Amino acid sequence: MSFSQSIRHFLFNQDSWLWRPNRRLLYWITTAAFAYAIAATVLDAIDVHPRYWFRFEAGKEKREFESSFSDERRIYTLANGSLMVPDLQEKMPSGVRAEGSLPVYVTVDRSTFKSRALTRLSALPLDLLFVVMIWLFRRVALSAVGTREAPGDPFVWANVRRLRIIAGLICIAPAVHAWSGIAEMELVSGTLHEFSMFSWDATGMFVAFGMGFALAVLAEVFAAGIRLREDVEGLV
Amino acid sequence: MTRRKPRSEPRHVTFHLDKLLEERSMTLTELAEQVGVTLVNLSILKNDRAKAIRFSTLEALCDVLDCQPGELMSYE
Repeated sequence: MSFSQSIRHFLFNQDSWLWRPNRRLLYWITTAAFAYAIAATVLDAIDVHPRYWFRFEAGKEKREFESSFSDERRIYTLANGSLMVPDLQEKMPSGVRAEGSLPVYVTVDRSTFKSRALTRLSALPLDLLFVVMIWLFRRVALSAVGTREAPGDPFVWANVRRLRIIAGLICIAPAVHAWSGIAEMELVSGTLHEFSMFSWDATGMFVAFGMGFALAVLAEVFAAGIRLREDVEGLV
Repeated sequence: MTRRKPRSEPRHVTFHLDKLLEERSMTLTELAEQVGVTLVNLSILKNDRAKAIRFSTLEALCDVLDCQPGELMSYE
């Protein structure tokens, strides 16, 4: 079999691996994603933070990969660059306009109960949202992909319920994300003082609403399909 | 103390295939063969689990059983 024939076989032949329902692979991928989400939530709950970084210095041909766990909480946020560096615009090359926001990592001072509680409260709602969404997606995906002997059936009322819940969660995600931003701003305000700034992602909000709406429509399409099938199954 | 009214059972269309088959000394399998409907579908009809019936099926049943639709089913 030539290379092009092999490619054609892989893409279009129903005996190829691509067309075979691989439930076991899907099971392990979705289980790994769920386990990762749970682990991230637990680490945020106990306030331990993994760090990975890859450093590459072009001139020295040096590559470094480091990973560590730390109880030091760093927050990636935006500082008001124009206030911090009043002549920021003057330092810019010609044709480059400073927007005023400067990406910074701020180490959180966790000496007070309030800051310790806020570090958890800033991260946990989004974590839990992801855990629930990944679990529901996992159940939908596993119900859709069966084996050759027992084909999957995604058109069940449980999936309609799951998709409706996911759609709702995606729609409220921007609000939860905004809450995280507010909590993080409160955490860094002590260090950044007047330089801290809150950024609101309007594009992300519209994308989330769009995705939530699309999923809600998909849930109703599922519901219509199930009703149709129930009618056909009861027709003699 | 006021007595609660007993809840009335929901009414639905019931098929009397059993009675008609008994009167005609026929089995469900024979009826299925003559009508041209699968045994599974006739069982659904017999056990009142059908949600809808085609006019063609109803006509074929009336034809084979020599009856009127009103004899085949009732609303109770």
